[in-house]
Amino acid sequence: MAIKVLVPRLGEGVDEVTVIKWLKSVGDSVKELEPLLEVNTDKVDTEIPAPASGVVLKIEMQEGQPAKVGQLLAVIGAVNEKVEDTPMSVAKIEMLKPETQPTTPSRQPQTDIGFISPVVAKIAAEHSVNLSQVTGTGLNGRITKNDILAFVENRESGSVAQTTSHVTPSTGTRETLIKHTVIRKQIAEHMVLSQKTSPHVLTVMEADMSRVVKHRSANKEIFARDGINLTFTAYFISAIVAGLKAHPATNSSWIDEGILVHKDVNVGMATSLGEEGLIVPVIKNADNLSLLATARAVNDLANRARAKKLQPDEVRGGTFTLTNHGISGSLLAFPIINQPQCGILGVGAMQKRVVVIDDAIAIRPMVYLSFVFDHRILDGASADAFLMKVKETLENWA
Amino acid sequence: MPQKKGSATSSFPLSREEILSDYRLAYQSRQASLIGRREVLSGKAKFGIFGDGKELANIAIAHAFRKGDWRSGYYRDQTWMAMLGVMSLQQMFAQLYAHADLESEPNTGGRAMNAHFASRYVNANGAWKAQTDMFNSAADVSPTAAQMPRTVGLAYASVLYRKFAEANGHSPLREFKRFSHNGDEVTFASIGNASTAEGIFWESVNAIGVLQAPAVITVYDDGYGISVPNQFQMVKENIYAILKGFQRDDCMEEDCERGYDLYQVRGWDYPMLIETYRKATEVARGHHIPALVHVTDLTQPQGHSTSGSHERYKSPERLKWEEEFDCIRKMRAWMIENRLITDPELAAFEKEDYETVESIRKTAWDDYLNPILAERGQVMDMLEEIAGSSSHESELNDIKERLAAVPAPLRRDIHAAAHEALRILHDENHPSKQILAQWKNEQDAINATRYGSHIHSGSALKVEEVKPVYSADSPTVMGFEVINAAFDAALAREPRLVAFGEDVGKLGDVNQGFKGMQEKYGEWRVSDTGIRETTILGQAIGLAMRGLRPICEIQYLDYLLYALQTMSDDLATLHWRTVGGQAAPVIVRTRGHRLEGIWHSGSLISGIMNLVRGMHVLVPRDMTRAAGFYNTLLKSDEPALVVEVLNGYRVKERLPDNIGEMTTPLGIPEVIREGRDVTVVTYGACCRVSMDATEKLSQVGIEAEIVDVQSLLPFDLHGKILESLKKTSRVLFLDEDVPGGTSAYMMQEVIEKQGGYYWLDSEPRTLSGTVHRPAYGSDGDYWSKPNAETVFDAIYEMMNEVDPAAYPKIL
Repeated sequence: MAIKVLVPRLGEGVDEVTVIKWLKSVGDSVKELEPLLEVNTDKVDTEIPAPASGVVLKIEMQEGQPAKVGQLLAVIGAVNEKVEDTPMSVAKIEMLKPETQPTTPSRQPQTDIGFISPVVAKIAAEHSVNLSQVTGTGLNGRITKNDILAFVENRESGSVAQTTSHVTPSTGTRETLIKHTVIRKQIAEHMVLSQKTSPHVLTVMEADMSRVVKHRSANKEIFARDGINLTFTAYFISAIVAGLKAHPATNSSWIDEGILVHKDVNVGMATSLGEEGLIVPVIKNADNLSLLATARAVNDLANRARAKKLQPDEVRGGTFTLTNHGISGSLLAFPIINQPQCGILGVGAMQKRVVVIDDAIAIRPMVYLSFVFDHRILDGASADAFLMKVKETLENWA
Repeated sequence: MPQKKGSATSSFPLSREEILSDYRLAYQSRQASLIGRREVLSGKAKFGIFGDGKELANIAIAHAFRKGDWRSGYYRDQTWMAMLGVMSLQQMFAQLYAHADLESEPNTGGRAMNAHFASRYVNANGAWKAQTDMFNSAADVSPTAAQMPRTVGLAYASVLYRKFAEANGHSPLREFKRFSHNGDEVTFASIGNASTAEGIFWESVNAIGVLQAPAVITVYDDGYGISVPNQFQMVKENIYAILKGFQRDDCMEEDCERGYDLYQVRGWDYPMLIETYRKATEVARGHHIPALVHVTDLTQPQGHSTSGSHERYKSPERLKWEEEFDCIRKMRAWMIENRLITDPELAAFEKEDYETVESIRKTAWDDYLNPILAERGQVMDMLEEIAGSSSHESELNDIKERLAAVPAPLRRDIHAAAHEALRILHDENHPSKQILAQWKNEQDAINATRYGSHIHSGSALKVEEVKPVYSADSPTVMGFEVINAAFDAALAREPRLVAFGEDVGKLGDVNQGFKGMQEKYGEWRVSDTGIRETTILGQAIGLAMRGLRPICEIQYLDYLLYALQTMSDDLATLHWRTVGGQAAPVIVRTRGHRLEGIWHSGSLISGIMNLVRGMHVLVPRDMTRAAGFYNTLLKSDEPALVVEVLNGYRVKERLPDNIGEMTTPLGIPEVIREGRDVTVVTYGACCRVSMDATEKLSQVGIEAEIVDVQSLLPFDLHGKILESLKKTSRVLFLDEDVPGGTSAYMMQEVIEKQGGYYWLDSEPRTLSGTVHRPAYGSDGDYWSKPNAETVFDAIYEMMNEVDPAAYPKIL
């Protein structure tokens, strides 16, 4: 009896995956729960295990193809077992409309984005643009050809550096094209969207980490006994939680009707995946966690992120983000807000610096705290109040 | 000439054998008519109209008809055409069955209904045959009297050929030898009595008389126009009587009054018919004096056509008379009376002839049906194969059986069955289904060609472009001088070229395009005509059929409407309806766009263009482009309409050094101004209007690209407009026609056919004239047609929608 491998439901809100890599070919034997293929969603790469032991009889979705939840991926069965010819045996027909050559640029209802002219639709399809991310400047906000061309040009010339030049990026022959990975494209889209969405403002403070350093030295061993690597990240997250609790407006999102203040405090931590990009696993309800529990969560999420073992739900629902750019030596940065959050805190490299304390010169371990916030939600003073709370929490750690 | 009546004389010019042969042809033709009606009414053909009752008149005309002569007639000429071999009786049946194959039906390839006669004077390779070796028949059209306008030109060609030969020391130019021997050719027109009530009959009869063109016009008079008797058709119920004023003086001197020879002869009087046509033709041929022969006392044994029964409108007395005066019966009696043959001998021939015609019919039917039966067999085989392994087996078998049961299937029956099968199989992935689908696609393509080929000959598109050449010495002259120089060069290099129209001769046309040309090339090359647009066009059609290259001028575009029926029914369809067997390379020259007032505005482009598919419609924006189009057209054999821009004659242009050689290609638009924001697609005088608007648009930062279409038919063959639209993604179709007129046509071409839709970023727009005709005066014009301001507004509105910040509303 042949068993169908279907696209599983990979968490709430996920209705489509992209097949990244088949780990088995037709004819290969596979054991139940043995990884069969890799897929990704807009943020997560994951493996799908074989639902049964047997031989791969048929592979229905090729690498790079998008597949909807419930759609047939493969068939596993006994050697020489015949496979039905109709691939659409399980999922309903309407779920299987081919998505390989989208004729509409966006799967989102177009009512949200207004009338889309044929040439805009064409360009969006050719460049895989999600039109909900493009700002329209035509009458009643219509997305015009110029708008989408500008969007595509900005996206392709880098998400942050907005160039106004019309120079062709190519300079000649000594070039190699590195094709975009899915994650690269998604990062690019999110970054451009964020910059277009929020007016970003940076405010910077400096924190004396003496007490944190002292506390960490004192407790590192104890934590290690529980198998926990006590990192500075855990302190920063705890300090952020203190700041968010003191200034709940920072734990919020801008929506059309008003400022949506989140009750949950879910802090994301940007985690580098090296050249592949970065991912932001979320520590849910961080305000309920002790330093130990926070450190444990930080360890666990970071490890699983690097091993690509995160569950889709673990990268969703953040209300604030921490990015520790200091890891690679950076002192000050201007991080981009992770939408739809209100702010992101960047932490620079800790350095011993000469500081003046009570008119005396002292040497202290210092970090710059770079807080980028959505100026629609916060003004300079309220943002600084939050940041001051973070600084004070770190400096007065007990 | 006095009216002649009488009977056979001892000095009859035909031998007993010839007379018997005539009788047997008449009898066979009659049998073909009777059998033909039976075929239609038994469902084997769709419609039939026959030559019964007119046989003897037909035979008399055919006796007078020589090789090189022309027929321009209508659907009662079956016996005449059979006698000359233009359409044999077997071919008559093939046409009746709509046998769409040139081998079997060489007159129209199954495209025209029966009794439409056309000799093939153009070979498959496009070369023209020697018409002097042929019995020629211009391809028939069905509308009543529509054969008359071209008769003017067919007959007048003999006048020109004789004059050209005289001017060449009584020797024809080499180019003309295939078309004429000294202008000796007579054109035989035929028309029914009731059709003489049509205006174009009178216009044509008058024009032929004025031109003294050798036409012999026959009016067959059977007393009715379908069901309506002569009392409702014409004054005095007698065309001969009312044409008396056209009769010439019976003398040949210069100062004698010129006009027609008139004859009246009874349609059953065989010897008199022979004599009448001999005489009328002799005078026409020798002296270029036209004749009109009124053939009376004709009958219509089967009524007008298969669509009716004459018993319903003819009285028993009339029916009885028709039987008694049936021309074949009368000839039979005359032959026996004159002891040419006995009754039993004739009866034996008649029996043989009846069987001959039935056998001919059967051959024609089998030729027609067998290929269709073979196609049915193929489809039935495929259906059977599919049914065997399909879940729809019983439905497919049902289709197959129904198809098999059609006694004389049409191709459409077979295709409907194939289509039904494919519909039923739409949800089944059956391998043999593809074979059936492929068969249907292939057959559809074959049938598209079978019925749709030869709209154009293609020769105009093969003419290579020669760009205008300018040097430092190229003078700047008025537009009319450019066109004048082009015509001068064309008349010098092309001896077949003749130009005519109202005021074209002595005046050199109202805008001086032919200034000095009559003086230089003679009154036969460049000539005036009466005020008679339909027969100006007819004159051109006939001349073009006979190998000349006419440029006929319709003084203003609005007056082309007079000639539109002839242009649409006859000229535009000619090449197609003969499957390339006939061509008439007529150039219709007119001037339009931008004059003044209700009947001189020259804007009625779509109304004209949409009725003349099969012709080229060219709308040059200036005289240099116009000159290039004339040069292109004169190298091809395709008919065309050239609309010059009325206000262009007094605008200065540089005269190209190669005005006689330069050509403007058809179907190639020209970008006359580059711009990034909006593409304006326009033609003719609106080119200048839009150029004026672009200056104003530039001042507010909008750069419009202007594309001059130049050639409406054919339209932008290489997608040049699409290239512009890809750049701008916005388009305005601009002209001064009615809303939904040519602007809508251009929109369909670009947005639908070229796929411009996929490049649009703004709603495609049209800007045209108003629904009403332009009111007189400059202000009337301003509020009736697009102008620089309305073009500005249309484009600005588009840009406002795109970028309201940069282009805020003005009004």
